[in-house]
Amino acid sequence: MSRYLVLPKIGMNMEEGTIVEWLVKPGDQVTKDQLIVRAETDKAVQDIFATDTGTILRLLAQEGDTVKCQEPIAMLGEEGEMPEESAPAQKPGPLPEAPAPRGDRPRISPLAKKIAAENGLDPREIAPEQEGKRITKSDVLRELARKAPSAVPDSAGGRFVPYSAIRRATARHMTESAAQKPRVSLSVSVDCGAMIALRQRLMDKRRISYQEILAKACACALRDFPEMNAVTVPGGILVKEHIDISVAVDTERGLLVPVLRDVDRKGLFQLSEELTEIVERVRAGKYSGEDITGGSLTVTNLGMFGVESFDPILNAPECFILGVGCIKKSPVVLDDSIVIRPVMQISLSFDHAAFDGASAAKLLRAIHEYLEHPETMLA
Amino acid sequence: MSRKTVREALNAALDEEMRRDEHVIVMGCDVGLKGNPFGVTLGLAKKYGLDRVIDTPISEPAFTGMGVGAAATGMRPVVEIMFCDWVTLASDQIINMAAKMRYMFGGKVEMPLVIRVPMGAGGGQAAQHSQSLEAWFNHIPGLKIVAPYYPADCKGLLKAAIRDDNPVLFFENKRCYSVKDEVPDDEDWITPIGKARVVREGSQVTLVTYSSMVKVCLDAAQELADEGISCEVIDLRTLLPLDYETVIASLEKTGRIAVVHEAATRGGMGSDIVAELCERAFDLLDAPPLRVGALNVPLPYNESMEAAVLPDKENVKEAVYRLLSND
Amino acid sequence: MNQETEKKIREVFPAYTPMTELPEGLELETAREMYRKMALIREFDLSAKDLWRAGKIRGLCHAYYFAEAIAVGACSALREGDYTTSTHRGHGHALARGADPGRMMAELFGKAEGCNKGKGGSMHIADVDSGMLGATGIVGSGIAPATGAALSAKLQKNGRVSLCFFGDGGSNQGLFYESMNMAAAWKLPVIFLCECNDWAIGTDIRRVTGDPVIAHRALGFGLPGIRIDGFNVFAVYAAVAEAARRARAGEGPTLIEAKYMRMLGHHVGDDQFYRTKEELERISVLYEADPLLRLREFLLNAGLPPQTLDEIDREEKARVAEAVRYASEDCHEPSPEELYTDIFSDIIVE
Repeated sequence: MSRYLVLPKIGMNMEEGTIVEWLVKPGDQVTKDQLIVRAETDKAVQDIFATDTGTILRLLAQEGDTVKCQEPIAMLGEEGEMPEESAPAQKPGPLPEAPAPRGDRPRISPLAKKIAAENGLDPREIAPEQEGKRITKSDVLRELARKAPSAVPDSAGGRFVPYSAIRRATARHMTESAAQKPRVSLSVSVDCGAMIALRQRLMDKRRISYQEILAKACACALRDFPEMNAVTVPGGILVKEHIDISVAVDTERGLLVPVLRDVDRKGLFQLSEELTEIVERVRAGKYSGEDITGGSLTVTNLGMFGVESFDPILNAPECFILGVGCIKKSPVVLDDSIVIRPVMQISLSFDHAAFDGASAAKLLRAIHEYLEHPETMLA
Repeated sequence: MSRKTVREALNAALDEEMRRDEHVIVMGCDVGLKGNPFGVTLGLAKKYGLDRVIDTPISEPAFTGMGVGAAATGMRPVVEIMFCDWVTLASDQIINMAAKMRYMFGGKVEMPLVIRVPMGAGGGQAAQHSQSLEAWFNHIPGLKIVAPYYPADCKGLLKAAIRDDNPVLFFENKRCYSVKDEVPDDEDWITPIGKARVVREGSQVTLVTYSSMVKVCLDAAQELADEGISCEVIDLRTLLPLDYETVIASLEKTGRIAVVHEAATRGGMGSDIVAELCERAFDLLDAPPLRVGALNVPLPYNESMEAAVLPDKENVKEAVYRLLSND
Repeated sequence: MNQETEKKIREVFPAYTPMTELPEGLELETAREMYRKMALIREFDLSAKDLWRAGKIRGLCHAYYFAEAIAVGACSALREGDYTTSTHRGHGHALARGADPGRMMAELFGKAEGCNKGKGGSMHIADVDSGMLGATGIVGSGIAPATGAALSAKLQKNGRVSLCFFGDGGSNQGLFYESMNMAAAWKLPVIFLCECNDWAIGTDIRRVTGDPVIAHRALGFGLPGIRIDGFNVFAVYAAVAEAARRARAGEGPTLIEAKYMRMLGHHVGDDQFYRTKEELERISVLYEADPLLRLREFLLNAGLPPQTLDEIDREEKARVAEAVRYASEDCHEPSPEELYTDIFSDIIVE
């Protein structure tokens, strides 16, 4: 009798995964807990281990397929059993042996259920904002918005590109953050002379990037204003003990934001080492949810693309994000004369629900001070 | 318009209606010479005589029943039950006579009877002088029930109740007698029975409330607004017939609702309203409708124990957080 | 009635008083019409009893059998516009005030044409237009509203009095004392008329009262209390006429205890298993004191020809027969929307 290997749920928020790479093929013997496939979830590319022992008779999900958790990905036979060549390549339904904890019925509000039904949406296709929460109207609307292009994929003569798991997660995250967090951006120009000189001196010993210096400056500023080292929670803010800074990283799979820990307490070399290590892992897809959550301020830098300034959307539940532009030689009035200086635009977007403009301005002024006088970060 | 307390507004309503119609009488314990324990009927006896502002013995069943008989024979009695807790004594005449006579006699009897019921806790008056028992009467077909908060509504609804040809239970919260606000002076101005009022507009959560909890809900809504949460507050004013149109219109906007009252939660108005909304407006609900009321215990004497039993601003906020948590 | 019978009656029924002459102010012609009313009530309730047993009448139905002299004597002493409240045993009170037997029978049949539109039935029979403010199924609950009606009459200075029928069962409700107290305190024009038949459903009054003489209770409240023979329509008439005079003169309330005896069950379906055979035998002598027969005997002695009274008997039997025919043939079931009418004067709340 055939058995199945299913896509296991291996993260709090994991609802589904996209098969990236099969490491076994039909006819292979697999044992339980053997690495068999890599799948991309909304968090990362995860290693997936066999949920049973036997011979792979057929792969039920191909690379690129998106599969819900607990759905079968491969058919297993007894050891030594050979795959049937002529077997129809069709997916069986969900496994009767592995019922979902609440049966087949998702937890959904009456209103959400009604809207979903009106739009022909199966509630099982809708993910709640957070694992374990009830699906509400906003979840349905988000799902509808996500599905909207598929309704007319070809009508415009274009090519429909479905969102990847990361893209989808980013889309949801950004949409919600933009909707839920009233955002205001403050910007200043930074004279980067001292910062450039510092980096050049340090580069003799070890390669460091501006990201570490920016993260360190932000951490020092947050140390000066500890009440702003906070994230929003329902009904208030949670002031954090540790100062952890998120750093936006562009990868082939999309935007990912790893988090550097205790940035105020670490030196630039250590930060550089850690950032390099984490970015490598992130780019390789070998990271966990912990690597990308828990920051209180994000640094995002588009300077390498020549962008001069921008107002980024907040990385909820964080309340601050620093948008960094390119360093550009610019005329500056210094001691009543015009001089050419390397100038960088930085803008601090903040959550006005949690903090007021004056507070954010103080934080930005502190960041500005640290960047123009980086030696003070060592104090 | 003039600024009046609830006490003054109720007094003005009685005064104006007694002047307008000689059939209006007031009866109850200490309503005459003493002007009732809370000063609501102060001065009326002097103006209209002790024949029309009748100091009764402590006989709630009989003087309520006499109100029934007087109402059936052309008078417009306003009977006062000094403390809501003792409406139990009068309940037979209210439930089996006042509420039923028109119906069981085939529509032949008018019953222009008002029963004023001062209710509510908060003063350390313990278990027999603190209850809010309005929900009991919501169960009885044939009664109208009002429970206003604002002085203007207190005046307008008491006048409307007196002019109504049906038995009206008028619940006033003892702690709110000193609430002061603008009140129309026009003697013909009334507040229609059966109409709720949106007293604060909002978009995320609907708070349905009445009487003393109107203020509590408004305070909670203000604090929640500072946190970026937008609450709509509806003052029901009339509990029976209840203005579901206004409640459902708000629910259409918010999808999330809590009913807040001072009375004990179990079997309270909230239970009935929530049940009704589940039947009438299930598809509008984006979260389970909640009830916020007193704990299901007798009102204790001790100050902090009493405070723990009664619903407050924090309880309302907790309910709102819960409604928004999607848990 | 011979002296031997009278003696036997007095043994069982000490309140007995002979009917020797017309009370002051009562014409023979009026007495004859009182006989007509009593005959109507007798016939109506004996019919109702049979109809209940035949399944034509639902619910509880309490016959006014043997109490006819009280309702008729009392109501004959009232004026148009005076108020009466009733008990659960109210057919006699309504008919005595002049209610239409056809519409009453229609009510017992639950018809739309019934005096309560089929919504009240026997236990809530009302004829508000005649001042009969309705029967009530909660024992004693009509006493306070009757006192309130008296308060209303006093305040409106319309000269009306309010007569409150209640039973010895109702006299043990607190409402009675509270109402009597206020009525006495404020000298309200109310007459408390206790129809004392010794039985509260299945409980003999002697088992549950320290003093079974209800009239004595007036003493503690400062109003006159008298006990009369409730089988003697003239005694009832005279007592109520005097009480009404006092009430209208502003002298305050009166408590009248009209003794009679419940010869049947509490309601028409009650087999009275709780009453012993001996007890039923003991009271059987009271059939000799039948209030209808006593008035008939008086009227014959006063010179009315027997044919006249026979004619009245026939006419009233025919009225009841016509009422039954009307109720069962001419009347209609209430329409479904009637469920929600008459709850409020102005709105429909479902």
